[in-house]
Amino acid sequence: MAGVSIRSVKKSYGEIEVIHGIDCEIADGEFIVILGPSGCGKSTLLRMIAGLEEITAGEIAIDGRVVNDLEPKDRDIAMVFQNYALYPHMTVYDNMAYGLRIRGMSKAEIDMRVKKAAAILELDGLLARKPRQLSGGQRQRVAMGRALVREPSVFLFDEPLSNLDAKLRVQMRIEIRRLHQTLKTTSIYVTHDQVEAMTLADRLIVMNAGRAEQIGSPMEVYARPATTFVAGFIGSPAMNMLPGRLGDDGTVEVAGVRLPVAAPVAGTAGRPVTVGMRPEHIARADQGTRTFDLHVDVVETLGADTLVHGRIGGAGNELIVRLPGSVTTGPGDVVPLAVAPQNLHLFDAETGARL
Amino acid sequence: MIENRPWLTFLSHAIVLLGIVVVAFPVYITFVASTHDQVTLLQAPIPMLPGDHMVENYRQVLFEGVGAASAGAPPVLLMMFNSLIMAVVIAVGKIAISIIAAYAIVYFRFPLRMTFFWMIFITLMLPVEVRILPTYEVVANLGMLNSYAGLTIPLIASATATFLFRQFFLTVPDELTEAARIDGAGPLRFFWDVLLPLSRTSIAALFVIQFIYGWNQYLWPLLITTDESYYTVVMAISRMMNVVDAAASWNLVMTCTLLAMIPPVIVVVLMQHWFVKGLVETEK
Repeated sequence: MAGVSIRSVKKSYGEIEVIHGIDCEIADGEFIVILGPSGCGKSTLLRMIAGLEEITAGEIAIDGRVVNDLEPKDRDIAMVFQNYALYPHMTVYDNMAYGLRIRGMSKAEIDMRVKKAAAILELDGLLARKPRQLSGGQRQRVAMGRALVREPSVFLFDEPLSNLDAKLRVQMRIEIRRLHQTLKTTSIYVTHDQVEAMTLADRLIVMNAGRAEQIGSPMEVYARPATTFVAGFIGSPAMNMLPGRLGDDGTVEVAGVRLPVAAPVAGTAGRPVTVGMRPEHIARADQGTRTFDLHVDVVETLGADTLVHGRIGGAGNELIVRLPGSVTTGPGDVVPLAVAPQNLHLFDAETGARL
Repeated sequence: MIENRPWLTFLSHAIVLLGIVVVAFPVYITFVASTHDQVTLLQAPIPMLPGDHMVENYRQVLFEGVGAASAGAPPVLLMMFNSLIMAVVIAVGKIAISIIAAYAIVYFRFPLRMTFFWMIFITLMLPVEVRILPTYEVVANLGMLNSYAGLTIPLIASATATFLFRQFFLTVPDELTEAARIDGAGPLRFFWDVLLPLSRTSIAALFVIQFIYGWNQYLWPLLITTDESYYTVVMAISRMMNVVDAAASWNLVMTCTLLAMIPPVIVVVLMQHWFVKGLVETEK
């Protein structure tokens, strides 16, 4: 077991820099999820930790030892790939034992470790099978078993669940979580799925275009997104973002409506800002407490919730609101709404940084 | 598609049968001719049914040669042995060399990698016959005339096989290579433990093709062997027909022909399962 230090790591392919310097200290036993849209460099970062990509600049240290120039096999890591990457001609047992055999471990020790991993992952009955005789979920488990038997100090997961169907994904997600609770091995997990990220992570690294936009616990990232990108990426449906201006009395003006802000923001009145409101933080209000009206366009009924799409204060200012399923409304209605001051997120209109 | 048209069924079967007859009839005639004596075959009409000289013909051809009248060819058994050595060495050699070459080209970054690949690829366009004189010159200067080395080595280099293996290696997912790297397998281990087993079917298919290629070599052995103990069976057949001042022993020529057909047939029959698999599917 070991911590991982990522110190101003950069990656370029030729002239093009794809990762612009990432810093992160990962504690021993932590479960870190790197989250971001495709092409943001999250897999590249993981592959640099694994040693499959060269590090252009900066340092990566595992357990205090700089591993920049070490081969993957010498880094004491194990990796689970998106498409499993099982050896098709080997049985499940051999797939798991292969790495141990190369290390010259004794037969008895290999057998013990493979049996143990198989028991944890419920692969006992499948050890003699070939990968093609297994279902997707079983293959995924074998791929995890192959990582498990190595007893590495860091587990690396590269979108391991994205080839599974929705139901299996939920199930495997819980298994990975449970596994981590038992083994407490430092894990780094790459995904583009925010639900996976939120449920698995001790801490998240939200990446965009080669930069770490925010590093923090799932709740922190959700409650206090550092940038408009993070705000829009985490949460479903995405946070509403409306252009606004700072008022002079601790308020912000959006679409002609004045809203009070919980913590006054520095800056002159009239400064342009982006105002974020999560759909689930906007509630239906009475005439007395209402802050603005929503002109309903479309209603999506989900059962437990109702998603109401509409406009406030004229064209352009579109808004999505998540209301309880009991609320009935239809296109053309006007719904009075309210949002608590502490649930307003203010971002700089130009840089997108949180104010 | 289910069809119930009796005429179509009849017609398609008739065509298939006709095809079989066209292909099989010469083979049958060869067999029939190999069971008669020389005199019967020189008279018209040629017989359509097997005769009673089969054992005698085969024994003579296999162990004694076709006789004094046939350009001094050695017993066919020896020639078949030569052919077998030639075919097996060429097939195995081609596969071994080209799989290693393809491995280097696909998995290693070295200077002029693509130049080498294209150099190999361009030689695809040059069949043995085009470069046969310079090759002969080289082999002669190296003193490899009349030897197994001379028979096989010049034919081992194979652009086709290299190209096929390259294409196959390119379809092997990168993750497999990476998984092996993380497992700690070095280049040779990866080649031996992962790539080679995955290429089994391609190897089998190539072996069949190259075995037949090697077995059927005619011009090359004809050029470089003057010592009859290195004659191969395919080239010897034509020598047997060109006898001066005597009638060709057609019965023995046909016996020899039939014998020459057997090993390729055995190879195809034994390996056909793998052969088809190797051509149509890649097991990944």
